[in-house]
Amino acid sequence: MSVVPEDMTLAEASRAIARRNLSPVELLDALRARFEALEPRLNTTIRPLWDEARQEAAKAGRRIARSGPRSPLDGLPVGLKDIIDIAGHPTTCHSRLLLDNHKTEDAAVVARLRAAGAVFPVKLATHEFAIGGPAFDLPFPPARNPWNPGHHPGGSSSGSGAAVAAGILPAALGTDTGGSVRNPASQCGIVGMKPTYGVVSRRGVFPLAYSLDHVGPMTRDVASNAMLLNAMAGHDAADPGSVSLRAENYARNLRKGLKGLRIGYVRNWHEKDDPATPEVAAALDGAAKLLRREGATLRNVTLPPLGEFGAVNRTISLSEAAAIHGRWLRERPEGYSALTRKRLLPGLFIPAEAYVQAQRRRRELTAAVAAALEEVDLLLTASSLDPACRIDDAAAVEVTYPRQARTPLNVTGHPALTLMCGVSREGGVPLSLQLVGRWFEEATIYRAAAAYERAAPWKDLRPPV
Amino acid sequence: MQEKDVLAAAVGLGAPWPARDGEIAEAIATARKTIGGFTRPADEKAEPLPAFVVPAAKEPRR
Repeated sequence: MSVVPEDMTLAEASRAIARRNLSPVELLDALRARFEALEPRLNTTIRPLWDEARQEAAKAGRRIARSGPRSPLDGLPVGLKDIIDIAGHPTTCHSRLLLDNHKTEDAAVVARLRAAGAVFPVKLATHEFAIGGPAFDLPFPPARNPWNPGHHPGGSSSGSGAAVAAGILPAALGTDTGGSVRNPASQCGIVGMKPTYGVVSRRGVFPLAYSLDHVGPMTRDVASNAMLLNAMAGHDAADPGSVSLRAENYARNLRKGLKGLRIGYVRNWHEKDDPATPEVAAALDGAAKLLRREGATLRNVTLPPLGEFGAVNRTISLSEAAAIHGRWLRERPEGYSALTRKRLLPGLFIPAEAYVQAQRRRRELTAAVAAALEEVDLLLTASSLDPACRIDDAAAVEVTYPRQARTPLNVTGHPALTLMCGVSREGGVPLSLQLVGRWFEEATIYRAAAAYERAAPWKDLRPPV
Repeated sequence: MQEKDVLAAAVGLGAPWPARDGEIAEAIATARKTIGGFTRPADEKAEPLPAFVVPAAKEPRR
């Protein structure tokens, strides 16, 4: 074995298990040792479930020895953001309001992964109710960035990003309403995919905003991400937003390369509308050059201003979130962290008319992005406009957190993936790009992302923890 | 009674909230800024996007 188990990607571990070079228990034990060494510095986890996962891994090992793996995920560990239900344990949403929120059924996406043989060793830290921010007045501390534990790992799927980047887990699930899979993926230098709206069921996932919520895979490499999405995707009649699709192999184009792909480079978002830091802009330009060198055709594409998407997203998400949190906000405001209360309370003051106007404007913005994607196969955009700031600098978090180009794709429902495209001189934290595809064309995004990953120098960089 | 008190009462912020005047004023300001942050739609009689919009599925092109 050339790589120690805890350094394997999900896809590498899958191959090693299938070849009987590694057992699920050996993998889990190696990851647990890393968890125990790093967790005091990183705070990735709310609820460790290693013993339970080890029993399931042992069962998987016996099954694989007897008749081979049930799926590429058989015996592999996947972490769950703690707004996703797993039977037999509470879903706390990182909040004191839900410390005893015991669940008796798996979320639909967990049930799919369990059926594929996956095991679940941890429930991971999040921003409270997937909206707050890094808060220090909650029952659990905020996760930290493994590239620099003094820095924010992004959020709201913060524990997922930190645990995967640190090598505690080869994969985790996050959720994304305004960018919350892609933000920690960007800030922690891993791969995060927000699939097309409706591809992954949200049943059993605590909602933030029904019409914007997505569940997505977070991994250290592109191939593993596609492999995990293969197991997550599927119709669920009990989720009103779920789409009925034929089974898809999202990994089918990973080796196809960039030749013949047309990529639109959306520069107005990070150059004009909300200027990125110079090193973020330079990293994006560098990525555009590399994509062209590898065979893609690039052209500039201008989309409606970034701020329009952000305001529409916030108007809708705050309104929908107020309809979920209204009772607690009125009756138990002290149950939330001060930061979460600050994020949620404006939703009570948004008039119904504004919500409807935002949904009208959403249709126009969606049409603009769909029209752009008629002319090109993919869009290249910024993800975060700043590198991760210090986690204890509340003012910097407040300024940098909304400076991002991810919310547009929650507004439109298009699939979007972020991956690393540089390292910041300030803090040594990752910089990332975003690739956006047509609805249901995740395989094209993975194709381009895999080609970029092969050609760029970032894939083998690991956080120094 | 100030405007923020009227608005807070209108949305049902009662007994647990009297000591949180600053939070309420900030929330009202944030809400106003948020809804003023996007252009009015071109057609204000158009159907809004339904709450659960699912893009039409079609065959992937490549």
